[in-house]
Amino acid sequence: MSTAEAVETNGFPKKAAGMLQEYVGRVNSTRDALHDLLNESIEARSQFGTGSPLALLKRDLLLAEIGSTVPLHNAVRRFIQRVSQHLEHEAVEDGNRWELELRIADLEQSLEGLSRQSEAIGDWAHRE
Amino acid sequence: MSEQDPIAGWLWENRRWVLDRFKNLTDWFWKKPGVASPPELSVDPRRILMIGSGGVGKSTFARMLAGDRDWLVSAGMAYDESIGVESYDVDGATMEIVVAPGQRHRRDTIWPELERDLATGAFRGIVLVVSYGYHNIGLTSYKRLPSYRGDDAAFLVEYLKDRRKDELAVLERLIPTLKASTQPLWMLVIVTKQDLWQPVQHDVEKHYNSGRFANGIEEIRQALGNRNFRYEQVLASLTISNFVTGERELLQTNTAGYDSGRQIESLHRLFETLDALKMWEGTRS
Repeated sequence: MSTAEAVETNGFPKKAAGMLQEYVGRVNSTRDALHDLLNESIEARSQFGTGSPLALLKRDLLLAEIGSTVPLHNAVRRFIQRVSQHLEHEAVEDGNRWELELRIADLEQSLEGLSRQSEAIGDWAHRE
Repeated sequence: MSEQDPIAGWLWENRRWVLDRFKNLTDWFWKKPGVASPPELSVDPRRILMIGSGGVGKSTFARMLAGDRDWLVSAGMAYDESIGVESYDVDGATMEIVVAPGQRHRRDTIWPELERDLATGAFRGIVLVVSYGYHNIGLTSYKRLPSYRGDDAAFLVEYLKDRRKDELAVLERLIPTLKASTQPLWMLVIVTKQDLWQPVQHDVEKHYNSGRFANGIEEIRQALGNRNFRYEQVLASLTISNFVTGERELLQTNTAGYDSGRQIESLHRLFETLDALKMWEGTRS
């Protein structure tokens, strides 16, 4: 058994698959939270006016939430890169490869969604 | 293998000088006397596709063309793998460069749409980036790679050979699509990381100008004809840095004596070639 094969048996693929799945959930929850804050912000503007204290507070909370997603985004992106390099360069058993490829695509989709959603909401919040 | 990177330090200390030199070069390219700038010449609104294996320098080159100066001062920093299709506006958005992620597990999911666009003429040119096998290894150790069997020197030889096979696989995958192109198309092959392979440049030139690689290019030329296909190749160094893994293990130092002057010369050749391609586009319109 080569050194590389020995490393593959260390359990990285299984651990990574679980983490990929877990973080799809985390990223999607963050997207939902942003969506909820957006709705609250829209409602506050609609009921009390754009410049009202409540609308301004909701806007600030929304922007703060967007800002707070950056570390998560960067950490998830870094984890995706690690798994991607595992697939690209290391010895991966066929079944593990399929599972990781599907799960990494899933997480990339969620992360891309978070990124676009944050950008769109941020633009909207700054416009008014 | 532990890393000490004097090149990154030198670049950082001399960043102003290097960036000024580079700015002059890009200004020359976009505003060359007697040569129409892109807005005047932009009769071809189609995009440019940048493609190749992972870790060869596609994003670096796209950032460079897009006028992002940070690409140079980031030399020596860890490889930042792209995880999706990237798009860069060049020269005030008169030109768009699309960069395809190069990892094998992304090719079958992301490339088909780009390949369809390529075949139907949505791209005016394709930049195939290769690096004689010097593909960056991201967030892992070389000791986890199948090519590693306990011997550092043997690992590098095996790894580079394996990655050159992958470069060839990329070209061979693209050949049917390129042959089917319905519109005139140019192709530029950039062999990056000259600062790493310059001592064996003769072998590098032979590798890309004969055998399967050259035959593949010739196959495309024969299918499209010289009138509809223009091919260029440039050997270049986009950044000067040692060959290190994401875990900061030093695999190979860059070539002694390959300094920023030589890098700038290689970039000058690259811009001259891009200029020739622009001219060719002009003659096609």
